[in-house]
Amino acid sequence: MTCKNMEGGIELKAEHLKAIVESYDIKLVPEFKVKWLEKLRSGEIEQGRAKLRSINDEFCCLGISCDIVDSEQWEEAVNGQYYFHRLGGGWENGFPSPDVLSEMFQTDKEGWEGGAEIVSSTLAGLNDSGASFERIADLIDELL
Amino acid sequence: MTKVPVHKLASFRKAVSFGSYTWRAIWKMEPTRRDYQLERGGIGGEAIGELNIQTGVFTTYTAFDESRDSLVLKEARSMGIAVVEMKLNSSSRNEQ
Repeated sequence: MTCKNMEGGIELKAEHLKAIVESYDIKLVPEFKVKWLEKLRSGEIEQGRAKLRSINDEFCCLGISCDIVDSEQWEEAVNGQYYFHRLGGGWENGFPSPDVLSEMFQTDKEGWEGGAEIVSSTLAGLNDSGASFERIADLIDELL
Repeated sequence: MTKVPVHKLASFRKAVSFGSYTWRAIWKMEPTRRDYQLERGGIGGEAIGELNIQTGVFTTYTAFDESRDSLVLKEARSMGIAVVEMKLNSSSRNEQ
């Protein structure tokens, strides 16, 4: 069976991230990449799983990206357990909105949206599987 | 294997819809195991696969598809569940 983005452990997922990035030929906006890597490597942000941002201010790697794009868009969920990021008017709690993705990734190539979604979900899978912010930052630095 | 009383089975069943997909709770005849089946459309729609919410493993019924797998992860996260692995098991649907 071929390697897929959510199959196996962290290193297998990292290998697949590399294949996806090459396949979609997708890159981050350089200025955004600098800010994202700085935050991921700062050691100042608590890492969470499954949500962009928990009520205890634990972020997943994609929650950090939402915060970089617009830190004024967080709205507490009525259940008091996490935040929604509302850029673009949606209610995103697990994955960045298209508006956030368009600020993160270079959009000059046709079909960038599909690549951005798959790359981001693979990063989410790495985050939720236990890859540290430092490991995720190294992969972003190398591949994106 | 433990059989689950009908009233408990009924009370556990529920469904959560996100866009054009529905997560439907399913029971595997194991009291401690709770799975959600992802269906395209409303309840009873085409079944995509099932998610073990305790382990974070999503078992697909059909071949891997990057876009579909990305959607599964996003939809699971919207329920606060982290998918940590996806496995292909085309026969698992018959176990229900």
